[in-house]
Amino acid sequence: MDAPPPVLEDLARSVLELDREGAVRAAGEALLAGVPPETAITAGLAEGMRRVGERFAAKVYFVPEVLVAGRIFYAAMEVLAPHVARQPDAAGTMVCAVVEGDFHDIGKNIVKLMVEAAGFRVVDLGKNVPAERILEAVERERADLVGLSTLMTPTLDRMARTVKILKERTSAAVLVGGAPVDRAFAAKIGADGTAPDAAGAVALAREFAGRRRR
Amino acid sequence: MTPNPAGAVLAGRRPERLPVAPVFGADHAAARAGVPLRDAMTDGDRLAGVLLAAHEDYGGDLLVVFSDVTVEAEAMGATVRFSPDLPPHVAEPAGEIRKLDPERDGRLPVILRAAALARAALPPDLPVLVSLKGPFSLAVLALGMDRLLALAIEDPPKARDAVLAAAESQEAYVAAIVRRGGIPLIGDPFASGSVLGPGHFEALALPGLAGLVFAAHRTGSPAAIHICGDLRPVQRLVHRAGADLLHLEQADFAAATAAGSVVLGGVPTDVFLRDEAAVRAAVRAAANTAPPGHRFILGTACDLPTRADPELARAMVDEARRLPWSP
Repeated sequence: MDAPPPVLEDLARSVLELDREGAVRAAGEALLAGVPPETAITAGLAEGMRRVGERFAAKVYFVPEVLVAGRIFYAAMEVLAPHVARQPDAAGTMVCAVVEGDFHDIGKNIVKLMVEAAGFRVVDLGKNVPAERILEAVERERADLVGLSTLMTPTLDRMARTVKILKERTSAAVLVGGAPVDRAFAAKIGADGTAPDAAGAVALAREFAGRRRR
Repeated sequence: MTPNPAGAVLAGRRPERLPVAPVFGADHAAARAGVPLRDAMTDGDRLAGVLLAAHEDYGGDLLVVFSDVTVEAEAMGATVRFSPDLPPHVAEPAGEIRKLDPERDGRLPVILRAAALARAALPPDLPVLVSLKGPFSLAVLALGMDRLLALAIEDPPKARDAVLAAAESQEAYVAAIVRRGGIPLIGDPFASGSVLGPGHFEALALPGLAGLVFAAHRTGSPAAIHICGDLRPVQRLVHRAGADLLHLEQADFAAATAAGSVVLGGVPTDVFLRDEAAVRAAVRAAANTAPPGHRFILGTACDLPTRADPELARAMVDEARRLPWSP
């Protein structure tokens, strides 16, 4: 088996080490070396984000580092994306949103980034999203998963209402998260799962998307 | 008359019973009273009115005067949107940090008026904490979260300058709160260990927090800090700010009291969306895991949810007062 081109490691390391110039340069070098852009994305950039997720889970990296890694991921993607012949088959489709009444989207953005890097198609509805709009998007996009986030306790009851509507009307798995959300709360409102961080959210997304495809 | 136990604990004395305090803000108090949220958040008399009514109903041992997190950012020029039944939010950051005059700018005089009314209405030994934003969170709200966090990595001196400018602005607000008889409660939710690692907390959040605690101490007042979320990655640094009281969510309470602070918290707020049994069980669990000594006020870990059933807040206080206690 051939060893992976060194430029893939350069891509992954640049994302991990928050080196924007290095990531953009490595993206160009990957194309010049004839590496398929899909491979550069999945085995280079996404691998870098996976390692960022590991550091986040281990509390070595925190939100600022993940946000900047995300910016670097997308900056390098801009070099690679025009050369992608076709979209690779997505691991699944996730609709994500911050529930109505809450405007804190940092957690949702991190989960979106990590889930996207893991190969999912993500439909991001943004923040302060009413349950009805989420339901409409889940039906329209035939989503496998929904990711709901809230940072505030005043909006926990909105999260509960959204989960209830989605579980009554769709077959999508509903994952919930945010600072005030724990397993007991997720179970009480009928959500399918919750994770304490973005890496956990990716694992849950894989698990539930896998179940639906069996 | 029994001395107020929360006041006793803050003064370093053993209380005659376990102090207890459901912590709530204007959103919960106004919803409970049927007062439009915007009215309560823009009128000092109405803000004091709904807070005092909830306080009287629940019977806690301290009061927090808290409107919402946008007060100072709005005064700096951020566009704030109100909704009928949820706390307001920053729709457009101010884009800059400027020094505020707490007696004139934005809704700061509203909060100060409510603080003065609450102080006058309550027994002198019952602590009245008045919430103001911590420097890091104020910089986030004034400049935008993405911008400040990206600066933290890409241009650390600029990020530090922004947070220090926010701290300098808040010094005058601290002094104004103390003049009304309030205890400054520096709320810094974005400085949580869920967001910042120790390196960034030490460089960005800690200097401003320590500066504001010192500003309160210079006036002879104690100072309190509230940081919600998971504090543990940065907790040892929070202790270095020197606050007299820490209102915490996920944290090592024993370490906080060993470092010299009184701890307020222990009861997770999501139980107030469940039922009375869950609230009573959470109160007992909080008491069972209380730090050793008498530097603990059993409280909600954060603010009560907007629509929390008042019956459950009463149950929290009732359960705490049933617990065995040896002064």
